[in-house]
Amino acid sequence: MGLPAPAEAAVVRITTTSGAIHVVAEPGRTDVWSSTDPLDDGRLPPTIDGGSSRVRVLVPEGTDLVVGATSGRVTIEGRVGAVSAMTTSGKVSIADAESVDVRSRSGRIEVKRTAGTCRAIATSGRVEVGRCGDADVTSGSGRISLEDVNGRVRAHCSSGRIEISMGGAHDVDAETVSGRITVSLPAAVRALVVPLPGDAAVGADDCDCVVVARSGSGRVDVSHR
Amino acid sequence: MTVDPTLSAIRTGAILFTDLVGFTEFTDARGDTAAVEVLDAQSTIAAAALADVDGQLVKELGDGLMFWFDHAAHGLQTAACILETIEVARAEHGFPLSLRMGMHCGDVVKRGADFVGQTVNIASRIADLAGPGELLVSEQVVSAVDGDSSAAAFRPVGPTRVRGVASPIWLYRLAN
Repeated sequence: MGLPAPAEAAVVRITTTSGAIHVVAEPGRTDVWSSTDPLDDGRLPPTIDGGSSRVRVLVPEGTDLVVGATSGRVTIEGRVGAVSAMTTSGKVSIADAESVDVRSRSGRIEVKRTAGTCRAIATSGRVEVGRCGDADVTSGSGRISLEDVNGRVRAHCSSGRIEISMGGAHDVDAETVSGRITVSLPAAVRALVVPLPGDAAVGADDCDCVVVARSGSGRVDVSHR
Repeated sequence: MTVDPTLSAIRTGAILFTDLVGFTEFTDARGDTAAVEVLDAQSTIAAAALADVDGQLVKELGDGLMFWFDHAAHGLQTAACILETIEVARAEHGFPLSLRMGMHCGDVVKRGADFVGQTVNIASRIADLAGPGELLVSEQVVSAVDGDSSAAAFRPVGPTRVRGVASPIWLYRLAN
């Protein structure tokens, strides 16, 4: 089913209850195609609501998306614009987005690449981020893994492990109540490592970045590679 | 239990829930005394934020708080003030935990000193979805403050569903 192409700054909104959401951004595509009828909700483009059925949507590259499912899996392939996604229990997988804001109560979150900010919040699921700019990631009990961060990091975990690999000299604020924290820095980066943000007032001028890492009961390792 | 019907009335306004992220794990790690100190500090910050608005602290729910506001804009003002104060305290004084918040507006039933109804349930659900240092609000809140010169900028985060509500509830976060 063809829908009007999103106007500049328009956002494609997709929702289901238990149905999975599968979005593919196709090079050269100019319109939005959906496997289900859009709602007549007065929005342009209209909201695509799949209910309990699986929804497949094809969009032009660079399209901004706001998507959400209760228990269905969310998969976004191709190069898209700003993505906001939310699920209760389904896994969220995003291949390549300009920026990401994704949250899940119990499903796993996987972001392979985003040039901009990656904000990911999981209540109990694991969070894995490949290459990104700034990262703002939270998990209640799941592990956080940031593989190639090229911006500021804020990572918070209540009881899981945090692993961060920095691609450059950027500030890190990592905190877990009971898990282990591992931060890997490029060899040439001089970092000031402190347990509290307020402690960075002394000595930061001589360093390339500040790493604030604190764990209530776990070990903290900051190393160069 | 019988409730005096004269104490019940339908009102329209905004409900704000807050929750301390990781409070249970913090209590396990640091002990009860440290946990109570955190709760006391939170109460002091909340009371100060309410000083200049038309709102009230309805009740404490463990490490969470529930507020009522006649106007959504007052709720936003209070929430932003609390979040900022907590973040400054974390950075400068080592306040150990972050706060997450959720707000929704609509009709509620006032039952004695409490407020009940689907608006309350939805606000609580929204708070559960927020991250540390984050305020999430429903589309209804954004609409309620639309045109208000003090209205803050919001970013969409997606839809959520609540049992008993047919349509998805579209959520926004207060932009940093």
